[in-house]
Amino acid sequence: MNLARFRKPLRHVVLAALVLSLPLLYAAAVTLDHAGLTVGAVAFTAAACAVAAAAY
Amino acid sequence: MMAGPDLTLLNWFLAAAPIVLLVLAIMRLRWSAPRAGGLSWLAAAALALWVFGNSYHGVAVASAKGLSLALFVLTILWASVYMYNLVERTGGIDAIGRAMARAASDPLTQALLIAWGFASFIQGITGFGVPVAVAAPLLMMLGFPPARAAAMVLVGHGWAVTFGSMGSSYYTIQLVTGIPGEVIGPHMALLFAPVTIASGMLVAHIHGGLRAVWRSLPLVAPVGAAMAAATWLMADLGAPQIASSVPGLIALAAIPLGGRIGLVRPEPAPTAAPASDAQPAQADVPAPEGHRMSFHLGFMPYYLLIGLSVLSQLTPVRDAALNLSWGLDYPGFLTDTGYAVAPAAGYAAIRLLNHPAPLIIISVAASMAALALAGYWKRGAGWEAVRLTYSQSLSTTVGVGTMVMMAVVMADTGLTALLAQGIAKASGPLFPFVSPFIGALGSFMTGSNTNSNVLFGVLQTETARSLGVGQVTIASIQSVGASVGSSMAPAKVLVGAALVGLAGREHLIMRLTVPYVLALVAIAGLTAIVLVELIPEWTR
Repeated sequence: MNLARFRKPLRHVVLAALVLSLPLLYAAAVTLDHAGLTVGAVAFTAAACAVAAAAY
Repeated sequence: MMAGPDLTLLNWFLAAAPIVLLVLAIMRLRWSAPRAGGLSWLAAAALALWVFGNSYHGVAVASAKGLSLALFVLTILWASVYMYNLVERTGGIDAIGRAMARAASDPLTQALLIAWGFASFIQGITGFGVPVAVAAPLLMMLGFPPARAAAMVLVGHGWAVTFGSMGSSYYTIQLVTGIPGEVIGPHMALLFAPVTIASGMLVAHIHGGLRAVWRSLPLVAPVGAAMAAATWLMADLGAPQIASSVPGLIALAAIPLGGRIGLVRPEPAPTAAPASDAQPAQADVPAPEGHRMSFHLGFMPYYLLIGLSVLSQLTPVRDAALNLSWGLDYPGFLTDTGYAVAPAAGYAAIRLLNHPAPLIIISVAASMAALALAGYWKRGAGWEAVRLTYSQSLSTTVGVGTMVMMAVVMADTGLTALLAQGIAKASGPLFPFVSPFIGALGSFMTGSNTNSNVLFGVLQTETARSLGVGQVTIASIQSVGASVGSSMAPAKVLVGAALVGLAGREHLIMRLTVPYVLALVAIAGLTAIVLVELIPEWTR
């Protein structure tokens, strides 16, 4: 699959994902202090970072 | 000594892995900041979770703290880039460039005036990356190559960080070490003297190599000495909050004057200049057609920013705006290795009247109203500047976000402290030389002199005590190293890259800046070790 054509739109998606990561991480780990949601929020952030590495 | 991961060779190398990955990726592999930052966060998080005993809760809290800190930095970036784009669109940058070219016609003098004098003055008043955001585009406007413009400003203002931002980093080292201000202030100011003078020389070197250093020496030596003397005087008089801005003002007055009276040796025959590096700095910037804006009108947003920054530091204003802030509260936690992270209330809070972003926005709004009244406003300039700001800041925003997350995950797992402990232990009698490198490591990781002082201030003085070295000297040199080291922090470099149009090609600035910054840190280390060895009674 040619990743190059998806790179430009993916960059905006990565930004949106990072912007979302802060409330997700905070809500899961601090406000709700829920173990499962916290693992999910960390996984979401990891996915955002992995996509960032691919998109830039 | 604080608990945390055991100090073994394997642990130390593992702890260093995310930083090594980051630096190699940017400087050797020429990866963009988001790619290097994203992978470094993944490496830091994996090490934290599966090697160094942090929990998902700890990594989540640390990552959220990193994003909070990134938001603190990025709001300054977005506001600065927007201000620059708007001023540029309305013709202000052109007016400023013409005036700067008139104040100093020689490119070398221009470089010293803007990158060393003006950037240091701005650091004294505001800080937090604003000097890079303001001064680097001005140099570009004068015709300096983008990477070189950013590198000159980063290197030129690094000495001013500790006493800059109205002395915030200076007060921090004083607080964490418990050393009284009247003791550490003048002591630290003296240790800054060689670094201050060397900063001017290195700006000249970035501009034109050894020949430029030689040409500028008759100007840089006396002006640098006057700046160093002013720093010491302000610290000794109990006014450390202006110990960067006053020397900056002196430089702003003395550099054009020195240039006019011939303290900068004339440029040799043009045939000697290397073609690709010769800066076509414009002594005569072409005048735009039609209505010409004056320097003062073009500079108005920056005047207002400086004025508001000073105003915001006044006690009644600070007190009145104390509750006008936004910051999240984070809980403390303990890792499996026993590393304790303290709870943080209002972490990286954005204070309405104490953070550059709101001040920049107020300055821009007031200036644009004045420009509209004066007939300089261009229809659609506001939205055009928003669109441009978004596209210029996109890569930098992701880069800063991922890198700062990585730094906080490392710090909150005890990895940064482990790195510093290892360096301190291995250095032995060379500790005074190595000490500023630890300070620089802290500011490289966190992008902040203040945070480095918080992270390593006590570690440094405790190590000094155990080695029988003067604690005041080591606490001072920690902050000197952190001050100049903050200039190579990715968060700061990325701000410069976005402003000079090199977003995604940060390696060009990093490769140019890092050797000079390390040279400044080494000068600080040499100063410390020479003083410790030769005048032990002075080093307390």
